[in-house]
Amino acid sequence: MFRRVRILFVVVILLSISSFTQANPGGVGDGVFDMQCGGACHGDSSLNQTSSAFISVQIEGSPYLGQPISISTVISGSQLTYSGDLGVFLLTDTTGHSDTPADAQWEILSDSNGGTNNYLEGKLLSGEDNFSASWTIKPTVLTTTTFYVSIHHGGDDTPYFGVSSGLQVEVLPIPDNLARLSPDFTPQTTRPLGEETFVSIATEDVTSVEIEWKVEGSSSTTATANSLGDNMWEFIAPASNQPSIIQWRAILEGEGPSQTTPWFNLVAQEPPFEVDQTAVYIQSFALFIFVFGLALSVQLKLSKGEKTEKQWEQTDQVVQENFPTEAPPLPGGQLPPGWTMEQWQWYGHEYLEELEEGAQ
Amino acid sequence: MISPATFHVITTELVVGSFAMAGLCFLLHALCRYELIKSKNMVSITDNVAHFALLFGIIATPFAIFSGISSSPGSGFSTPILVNKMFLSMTGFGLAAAALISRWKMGNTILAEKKSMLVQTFSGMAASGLMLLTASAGGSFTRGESLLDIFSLPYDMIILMPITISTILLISGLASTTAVLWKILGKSTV
Repeated sequence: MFRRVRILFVVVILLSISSFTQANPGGVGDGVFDMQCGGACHGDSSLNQTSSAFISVQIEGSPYLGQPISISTVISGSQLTYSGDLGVFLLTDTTGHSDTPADAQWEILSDSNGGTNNYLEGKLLSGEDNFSASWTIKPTVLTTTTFYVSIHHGGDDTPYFGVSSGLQVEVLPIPDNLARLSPDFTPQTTRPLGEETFVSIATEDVTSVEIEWKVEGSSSTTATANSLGDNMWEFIAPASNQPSIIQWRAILEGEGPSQTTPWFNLVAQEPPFEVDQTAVYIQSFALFIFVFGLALSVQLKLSKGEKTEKQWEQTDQVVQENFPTEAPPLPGGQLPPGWTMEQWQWYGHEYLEELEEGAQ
Repeated sequence: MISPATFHVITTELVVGSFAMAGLCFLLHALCRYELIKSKNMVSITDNVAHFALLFGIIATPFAIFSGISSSPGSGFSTPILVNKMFLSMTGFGLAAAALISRWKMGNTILAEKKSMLVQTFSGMAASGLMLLTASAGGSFTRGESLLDIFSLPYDMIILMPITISTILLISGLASTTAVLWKILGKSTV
């Protein structure tokens, strides 16, 4: 018994090793994470080596309160090509905790993967040695923030980590009559394939809106947005039949100073596959145990084991066949002391024989 | 220390190899019993090899499942193929475990009678088939193609039951398993 428990214990430990003490080379998907993994990349940060990759960071747009700016990064270096997979963080300090833009009162409006996350995962395409990512963010309070871009990647069986130099951004109050986006404006970040998209823009102190848009890697096109009244504007993004990213920005004109917004990403993609993992695990285990029980039940029913066992169990038959039909005559008309009638039926004749031999 | 992805490749190769061997031996055993193959030695050889291969495959299967979950990109079930892999492998695992325990606890008697022998060989072959389907789904996921593509299997579709139905299935399975094991352990031939 103790040996079986030990074997079971070893098996459990081995299973745990593969699932809990390893890194996640396949990544964990985009999300909102603090630096130094936050569960995103490696099990033990002390194993990290410094990445030789070069990280450049650029800020685009005027950092007015409630107005979006864009932060873009290009990560390059031959070391990246070892694994191909890359995780990129946008951070507001390097302490390793409470360092997301939200912690510094910045809201992420969009990221280059079509979400609103500070941690993005990507893959270097074959033959390339650089990777680009960008975020559109807006400040919600007057503050000064230093932004960093941090990266995680693999290679040579070693996890690598790198962080850019800081880029300080001071949030300014909004000048009078500045043509601007509404503080409530949140850009649409994704859209389905094969459909034209009506993109709405909420503004303040704006009299006209020009839209400049481009597909990644091609030249830009300009169009005039239609007014919907009440400081609302709209333009049509053409349909895309392939997963792709349209980048667009608005040139806002009004009575006050004009303003150009940062580039926003509009990602055309297949709807992501989502499934309730708990339901999957429960159904998997239910299928296992149900099939297991069903197959065993059928085998038990069909099994001839019980009948075979009964073929060997013939005690009743033997007793019936040899049961004495008549008891020997009682000596003196009564049972000898200490005997029962059943004993007398079986062994009485032996008693009488011994009695006769003793008399002779 | 090797990565879960490499560990997954190793364990799946063990699982697929073991189950393929077991499935083939179950098939040969059935053919021998129906005298389509006339060899008395083959009956006991295929019986032994099939069940030992099944045992080896069963030992390797949990490692393959857990390392597969660890090495999958994203948060685990990022595509329907991975969900189907989980369902197929767990169903195959259940059938294989039932076949092995039947043989272990009920002894030769389940192979003596043709009906129970058929159930046993069917369980073993079905378990092998499900494991090979799982491997095929894995091939479709990683390489975009597999040998079974000729059947155009719908790996992109999943049949996900509501949690309530799954729970009922789980409870009924647990109840029947407990009852059967109670009886089997009471009349073990070992």
